[in-house]
Amino acid sequence: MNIIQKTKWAMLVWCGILWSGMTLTYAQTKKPLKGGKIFGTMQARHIGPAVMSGRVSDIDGVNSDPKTFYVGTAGGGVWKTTSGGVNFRPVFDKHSQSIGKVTVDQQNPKTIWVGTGEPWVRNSVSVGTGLYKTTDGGKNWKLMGFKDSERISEIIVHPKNSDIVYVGVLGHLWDAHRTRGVYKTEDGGKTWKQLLYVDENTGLADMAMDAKNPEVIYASMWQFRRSPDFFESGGKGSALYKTTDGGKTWKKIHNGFPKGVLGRMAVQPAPSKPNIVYATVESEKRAKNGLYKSTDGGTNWKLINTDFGVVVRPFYFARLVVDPKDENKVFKMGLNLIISKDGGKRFRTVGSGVHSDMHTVWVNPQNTKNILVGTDGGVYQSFDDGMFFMHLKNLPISQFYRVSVDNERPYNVYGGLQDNGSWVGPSRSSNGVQNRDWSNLGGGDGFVAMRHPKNKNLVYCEMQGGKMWRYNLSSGQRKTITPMPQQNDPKYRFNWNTPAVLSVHNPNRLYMGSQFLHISNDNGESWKKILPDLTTNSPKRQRRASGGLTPDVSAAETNTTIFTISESVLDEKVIWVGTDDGNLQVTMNGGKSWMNATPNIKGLPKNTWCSSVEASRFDKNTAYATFDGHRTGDKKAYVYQTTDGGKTWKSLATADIKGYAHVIREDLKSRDLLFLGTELGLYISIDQGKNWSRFKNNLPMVSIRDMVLQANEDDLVMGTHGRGIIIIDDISPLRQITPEIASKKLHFLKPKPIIIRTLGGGQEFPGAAEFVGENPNPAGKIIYFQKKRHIFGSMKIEIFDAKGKKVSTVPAAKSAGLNVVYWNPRLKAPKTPKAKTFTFGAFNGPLLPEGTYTVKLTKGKDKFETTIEVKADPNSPYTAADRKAYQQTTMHLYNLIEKLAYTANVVQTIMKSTAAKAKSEVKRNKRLAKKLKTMSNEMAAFNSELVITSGDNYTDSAEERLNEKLAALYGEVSAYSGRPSKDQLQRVDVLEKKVEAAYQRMLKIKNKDLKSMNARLAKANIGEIKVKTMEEFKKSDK
Amino acid sequence: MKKHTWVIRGILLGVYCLVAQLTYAQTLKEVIALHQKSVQATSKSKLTSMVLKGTTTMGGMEFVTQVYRKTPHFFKVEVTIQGKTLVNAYDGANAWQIYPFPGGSDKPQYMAGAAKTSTIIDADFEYEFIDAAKKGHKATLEGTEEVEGSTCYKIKVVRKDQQVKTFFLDTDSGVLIMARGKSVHPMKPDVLVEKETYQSDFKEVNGYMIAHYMEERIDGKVIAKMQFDSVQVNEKIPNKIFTFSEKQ
Repeated sequence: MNIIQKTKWAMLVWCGILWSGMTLTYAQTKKPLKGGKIFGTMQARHIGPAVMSGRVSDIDGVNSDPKTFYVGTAGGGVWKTTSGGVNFRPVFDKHSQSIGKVTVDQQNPKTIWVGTGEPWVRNSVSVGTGLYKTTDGGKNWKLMGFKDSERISEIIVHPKNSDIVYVGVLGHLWDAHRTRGVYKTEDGGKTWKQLLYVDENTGLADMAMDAKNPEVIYASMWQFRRSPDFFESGGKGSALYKTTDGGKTWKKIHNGFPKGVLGRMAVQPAPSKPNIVYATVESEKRAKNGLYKSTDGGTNWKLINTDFGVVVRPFYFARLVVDPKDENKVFKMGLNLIISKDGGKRFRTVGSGVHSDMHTVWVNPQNTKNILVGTDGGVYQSFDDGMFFMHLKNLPISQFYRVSVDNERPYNVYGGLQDNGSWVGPSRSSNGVQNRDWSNLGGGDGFVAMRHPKNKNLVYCEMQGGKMWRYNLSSGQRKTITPMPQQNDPKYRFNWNTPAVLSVHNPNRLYMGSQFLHISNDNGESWKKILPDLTTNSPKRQRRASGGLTPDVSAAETNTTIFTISESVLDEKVIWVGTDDGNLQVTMNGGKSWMNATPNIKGLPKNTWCSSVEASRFDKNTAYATFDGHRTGDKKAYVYQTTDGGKTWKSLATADIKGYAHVIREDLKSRDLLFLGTELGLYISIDQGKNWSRFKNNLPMVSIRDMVLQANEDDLVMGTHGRGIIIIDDISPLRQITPEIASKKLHFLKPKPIIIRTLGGGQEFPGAAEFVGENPNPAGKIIYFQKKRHIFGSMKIEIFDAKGKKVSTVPAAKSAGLNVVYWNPRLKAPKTPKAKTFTFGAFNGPLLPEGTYTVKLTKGKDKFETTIEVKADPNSPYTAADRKAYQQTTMHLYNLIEKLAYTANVVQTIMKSTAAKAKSEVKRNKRLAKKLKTMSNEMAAFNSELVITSGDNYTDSAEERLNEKLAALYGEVSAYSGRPSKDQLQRVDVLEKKVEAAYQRMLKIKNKDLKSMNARLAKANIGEIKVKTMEEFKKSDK
Repeated sequence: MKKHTWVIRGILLGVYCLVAQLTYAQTLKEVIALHQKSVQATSKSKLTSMVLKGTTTMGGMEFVTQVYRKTPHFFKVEVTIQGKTLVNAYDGANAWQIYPFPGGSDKPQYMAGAAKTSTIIDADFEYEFIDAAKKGHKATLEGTEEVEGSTCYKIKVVRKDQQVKTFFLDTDSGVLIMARGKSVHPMKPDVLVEKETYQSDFKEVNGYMIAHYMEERIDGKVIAKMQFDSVQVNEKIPNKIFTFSEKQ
């Protein structure tokens, strides 16, 4: 290579590197802010409720340690207990929260397989994202395939070889799909082989292994399909199969079953006698539906029971469990749990206050009288063979459809839940938001629940199919106010989840949607129907006989209905209405005329369910809408914005959004800030929908069905379908982030004033068996945005009062993105005298007075500054004069404690030093030693007047001394943020005199006796006794 | 060769370099070397002891804190409250404490159960991924993960006692940003829970890069923040200060 070529190559390499470097640099500078780089240390908090819990799809326990079991839920992920259900923790928050199957590898109980996607396929069911495995008891999970399977119904681990696993895929509910049937791995999940496949409409509903011969497996295949308006169970694909060679070959085993088309079947061989096999059969010959039994391993079947409890709703309850030790004891899930002890001939129904709708039972193999039941209302446990059950009230897996808030302080959260009615609970409460804080408002499946804007006693709540009540909280009276068809009106069609909203213009106005928009201006006493029918009114979508082989008419499939309504805050005549058959209608004149905007939305498939519409509060021609096509197999997120009253639409969907879209909300104060709830979590945009980031900070990948912003607190309140209510407190910092701020090293955001609130609280020892929702942090917030995480050099925050005096030092948060530093506006606790026991009254410093404080942040060599306001609670019962009296008295006591602490420090220093010197001089200088000892004894006596010098911190406590008396008074006065009582003020005077007397006595000793002693010591060439000055003492650590 | 051919070659090479940059996978050895280089900033000798003095903020209160650490696994933390000192210590054989609160004692006591396990897990002077095999641990590099906006190497260590710890090292500097492992919950002292310890405010002390700020979180909630104002390294610390003795 000559020099020219070499030079060319060198330039080439340099250019290449430069180009690649430029590409990286370019990408970095152009890259929008996302995820952790925005949200930083912002956290969501969960307030439950767990009192009614939520649907449980599966339970599996560790046979060798039955106190450890895993609960798979319909929408709340997987929960683990190692304490027999006393305490649970979620272990699957990073993945789809819809669980189909949980299976513990009993040979290696830290290995657990989780199949996502619930198999109890009701209309509102969520979707899964594949098969997962953990080998460390749930800490880390790995996707093992089946990502697009949507729902996994069964997992069986070979009892002797953990590498062999059978997986049953029920598959897609709303469309045809090939990933269905039985799969097997022989290498722990690295590779899979499909063993049993029928067709793209038929999935694996149930699968069970012979407990004594792992080559024998029974598999129930089920043909099924949902659409927005219909459900069909059963078809030619449905059949029961058996393999005797580990899945290589399969044989239909129908001898004795009814002829013709079959539906969903459950199958279970008895573990103790595997030739006895039970199956429930759904068939087109409904009289032949029932429990079938085989005594020859499925070769021949006999119908033995057709009770309602056996045949009820197969799509929702097709599971059988046989006792591990008793082949005649059979558990059948259903509307109720039924248990047979005679091999299925007769069943008893479990009662004792257990929620209806049973989906699973787990029998403790070490004590078969101990059973766990998974229901639509959580987990129940029995220790007496299913006679009496205990509800486990620590699973906050409640499934909200809709959520609202009021304007109380603290505000309350209202919402309706799947199969668990409507409830209200506080957003915070003393000792956390507990089960007892929640009140039931209405029954059935709950949907809309909201309080009248002015009348605190009136609450609207709803059950399925549009049944609306107006509930008077004070009288307990409930009045049905559902709009009713009048003369010549067609039958009203109400969605399963019927929308109803309050007007922002008229407190007594209420909107509800059937196929028409209904308006009431008198709280539901009378309704005006707005014409026309705003849906497609397609007869094809109004079939009644839903269900397939077993009719299932429950309003769940009622279609061609209004699903979402939004009234403009800016103009009451502007109303948006979205329907479940794909119309998005808008009126600009209070309903006189409507425009269907859907044809103007490019790229939106026809008839896609409009899941939410949100009229902008900044511009009456602007609105946002989400569409959800998952009920036809389309799981894309459709998110749109119009700025011209619906004539044109812009898609706001980006590749970052995962899951189909349920709800969009515009911020109350920033038009750039949008919140999007999808099937797989919360997404936030700070640039009006150009970019979206998933909020992951303590927010699982849960289905967010509804959201509301609470105006006073700026909180985002989410109604999740599986994890109850989740709140992000104070989203106002998100309003302030701009590209300019994001490019700075650090930028203070304007915080809200710190409101001094007393939350209260009481003594209780609740144990761990009930869920307690987290309260918001009561401290004030210092908020800043950092471009990068701080790593090198000091970073600290100091706070100064208006006079420039430093009142507090707070550790700084270091994250990239938003940093929230909590600051409790109190002084440090006073320095207390050293005593034998703790000075319990003086653990806290006094509240700082209201006013403006300067916050100085040092980050390496850089300094940043902002101010923060401390204000009194506007609801405070105390006057400004009361609060001033509090300040003066607590600070006076604070200073007295420190004065006494210094007094005691001098006395104790002299006491210890003289004692030590007396000991060392006792042989050399007896006279001096004696004087030293005398002085030490005098100081000890003095000290014992100041502080407790004996006993412990419990019952062996000595009589209170001046320190303890003073601290007790300080503690009582400082704990109450109003004016101290007259008695307390008089007591201050009494104790002040005593402190002053002690101080003067100490000064006299220090200035006279100690000087004299130091002179003697000097004369004897012994080092003098040094005591600290007040300033030195205050600066010292101890 | 035509000019545009060189341009094409240049672009292709650029693409190659870019892909190489994006796909270059560090080995565990390289990551540890990066870490050691960053910790041992300008010093030539090995770090063998540390005394850290500062403040712990916990539950809205501040406590004076002093931490002593010495190779191979001597550990002692002292937290002073109203003149009384809470001690947690491990001398390589015994974990012990002084817990002068109601229900405790102002005399030293041996630890047991979860408290003992937790203290032992935290006692190793060196992070377990250093010379892991020699110590009987198993360390694996598990790719990268973002921690508070910093991209970090993730190293999983299964200790010889089967306790699992995970370390997150800043990919740029190699310093430890976060460690995850078992610890006792301050409110539930008999239960081992997963704790995350975040580090920052790294400053050079006698040639070593030492974190002057640590934050402990359990379930994402901050439990304690420790700010150290004074750090001494390689001071002679007598073993006896770590050793259990009736007279402390």
